[in-house]
Amino acid sequence: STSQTCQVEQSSPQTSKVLLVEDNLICQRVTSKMLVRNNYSVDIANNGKEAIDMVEETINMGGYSCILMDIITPVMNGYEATKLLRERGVDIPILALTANSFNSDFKKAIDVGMDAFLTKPI
Amino acid sequence: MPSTPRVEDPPEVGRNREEPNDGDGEEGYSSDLLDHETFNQLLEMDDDVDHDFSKSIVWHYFEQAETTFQEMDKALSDENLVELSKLGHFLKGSSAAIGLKKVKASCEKMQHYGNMKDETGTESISEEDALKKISSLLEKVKEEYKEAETYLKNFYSERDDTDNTKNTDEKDSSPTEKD
Repeated sequence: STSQTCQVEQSSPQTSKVLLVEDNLICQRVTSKMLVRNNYSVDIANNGKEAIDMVEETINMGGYSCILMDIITPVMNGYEATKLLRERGVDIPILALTANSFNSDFKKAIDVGMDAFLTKPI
Repeated sequence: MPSTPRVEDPPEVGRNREEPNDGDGEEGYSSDLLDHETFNQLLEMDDDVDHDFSKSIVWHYFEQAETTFQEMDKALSDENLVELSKLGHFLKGSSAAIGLKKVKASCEKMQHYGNMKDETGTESISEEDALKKISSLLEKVKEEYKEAETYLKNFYSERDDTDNTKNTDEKDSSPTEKD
């Protein structure tokens, strides 16, 4: 599967900056377009590890208002990334984002510290 | 500003197969194939700045699906269930983003079979059974994709024709400039 990071899109006026964690480029484009049209600024990470790096890089510059985290991504999945972020004291709202709709996924998302569960398409 | 057509009635042309005899007619056919609410939301993202956003997404999906099917073929020949599950999940996501119901549902089954679970994801199945199920499912999902591809290409062809006709009419009706 191929994916690449989209450029940051911004809309004026900016209200909130969201981190979208998603490995599927089509889902990246659709979700970020939806967010931008609703006046959010969007950064994109291709996997959980990139997400952690980006959160840590921006933490002293205001950070993200929330994270939309796809739960199945390569390198590091959303569950692992969320668990690590919470262990490091990051309390940004994290919303699980997935095409799955299994009860077990919902429970696991809450157990690792995610705040809400959204099924695709959002 | 030209309005973006909503997908309420499926296009008449380009149906390359006989309509299913399910009594639901055209609307039933396309509703089986496409979640109109999701697809309409995608169309609503077409704007002055990015009039062809939805079309670019759909065409991008076609490329992605073709590549993913090739990867699925390889993973099946390697009997790599883990990879097949990941690929099923991957294509499920973008199929869901566009509203392709049948393709999404089949990809979800592939995800389950790849995890050696039945199609509901609850009961365990053997590796041999999983591979057998995926083998026939892969053919099915490719057919479902082709069906969706035909429908979407016809939809955009109709839309492009409508836009071209509108532009021609507007040009013909605009007042001519005087020297």
